[in-house]
Amino acid sequence: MKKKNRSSGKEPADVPGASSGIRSRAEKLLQEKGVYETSMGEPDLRALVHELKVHQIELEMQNEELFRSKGELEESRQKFRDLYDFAPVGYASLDADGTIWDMNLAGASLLGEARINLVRKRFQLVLPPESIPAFNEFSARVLSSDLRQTLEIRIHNLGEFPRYIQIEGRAMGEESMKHRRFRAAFFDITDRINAEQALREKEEKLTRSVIEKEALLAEIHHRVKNNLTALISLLSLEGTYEDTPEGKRLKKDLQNRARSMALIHDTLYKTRMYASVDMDVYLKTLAGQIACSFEMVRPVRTIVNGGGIDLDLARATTCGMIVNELITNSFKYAFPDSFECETGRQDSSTVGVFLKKDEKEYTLTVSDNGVGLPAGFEPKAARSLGLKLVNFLAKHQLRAIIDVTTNPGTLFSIRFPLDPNFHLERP
Amino acid sequence: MKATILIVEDEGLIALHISEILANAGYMVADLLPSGEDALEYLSKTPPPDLILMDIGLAGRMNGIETARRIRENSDIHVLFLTAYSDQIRIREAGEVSTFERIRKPFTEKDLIAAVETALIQTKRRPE
Repeated sequence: MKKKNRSSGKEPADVPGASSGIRSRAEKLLQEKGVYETSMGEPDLRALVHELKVHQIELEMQNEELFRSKGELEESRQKFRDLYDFAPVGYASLDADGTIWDMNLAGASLLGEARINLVRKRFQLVLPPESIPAFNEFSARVLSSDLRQTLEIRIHNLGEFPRYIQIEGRAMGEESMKHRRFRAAFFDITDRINAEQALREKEEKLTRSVIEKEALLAEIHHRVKNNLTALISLLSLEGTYEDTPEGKRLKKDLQNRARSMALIHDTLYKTRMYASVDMDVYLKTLAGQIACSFEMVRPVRTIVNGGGIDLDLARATTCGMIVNELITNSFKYAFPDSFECETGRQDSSTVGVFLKKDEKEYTLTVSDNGVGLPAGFEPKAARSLGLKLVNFLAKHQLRAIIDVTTNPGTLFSIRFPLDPNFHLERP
Repeated sequence: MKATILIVEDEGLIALHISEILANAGYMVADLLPSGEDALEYLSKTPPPDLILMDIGLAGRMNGIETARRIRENSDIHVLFLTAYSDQIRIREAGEVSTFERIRKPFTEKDLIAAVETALIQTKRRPE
């Protein structure tokens, strides 16, 4: 076929891709160059005709090659056009004022319009008024930068439901700002925004609920403290009819016991911590209050260190009751008028309360440098309510092991496990 | 011979108070335990008491109702519940494990002794 064409002596204008316009332009160029030779001999003319025929064939071959390349390019362009149109992500080219120059099908579908209704229209048409300033600012930002820019924005509702998209934009080419365009990819983020909003609402609801519960807890602890304080006052009023020394002692013991409990609730209320008790604050206040309730002949120093420990409410209450009983005993019996502490111990009368924690247990120590326990006195078999409470509460409530040492002074060491459900084994 | 009673109550002062009341009334108090786990361990090693006084809210991971259910799976020991709960679901659950009248906190000494005596009489009458 090709051969036939080449030998048929077709005019160049008939060759695909050529035209009479090109022919006349070529004639003109030839005349301008002035190389049109008329005085050639026959051999030269034959050689020239041969050269021209070869050149014509070369041109035809080049033309066919160009056609083939064009076909391939067209096929490739169509392939990418299909990929562009049917991509699951929306794509578009926009200019500075938001005019849509092209858009794929996914983009049009995402914006809820037919593509034909969008191309050459402004993107702002699919936006509710409150989203337009943000989009305009985004366009300016994309076009003034070489980096990818992102915007999350609300678009027109689909029915009654608001919809949101994320736009990623990047400027194209080097045109002036006025003519510069940018490519944009669109993603539907409605589900994510709705989920985030639902989560935010739930968090706000939970925060409100926690605040309400904290207020209720504060109120409850405040009321419990007030009720116990009222009980302490009632005991005082009752005491006016009971002026015997035993009656007064009983009254003071009961008041201090009730006060140790009231103080727990007061500490929780004041520190605004409801799950655990700041033992530094609690033990210091408790020891101070007990010390104030006794009138001593000589001053007694009170040293307290809660070890920076926060203890759960149940065990903090028990520790408070134990400390109350043991300090009360120290103030009652450790420093009798006849005992000169500074002479005997080279130190002032001192009561100490310490709470410590190591990797496996807490140790609560209550000590004094007074006269010590009487000879033959067995604190664990004591029948007084105070020591009975100490022994029982330590074992029952704290699962503790108690060690008592005496002379000089008295020291109660109460060790209990970090985990309230764990039993300590005595070595 | 007076009956033996085990007290399972996590509030130490209340447990001690119950123990004093029962001892003064002539009962043998087997032990005072704060949790269901302690009660099950105690019963696995010790002769069974005639009655268990069991608080519903306990220290540890098991409540009193669950503890009583486990005890009743393996023995005939009767359980008398102590409760501060007004929760109807808890009360109904407790009724499924023990048909005895519950002792409601706060209780008087008279209420406690009456409930314990009634439960012990019913225990003896009831064929197992």
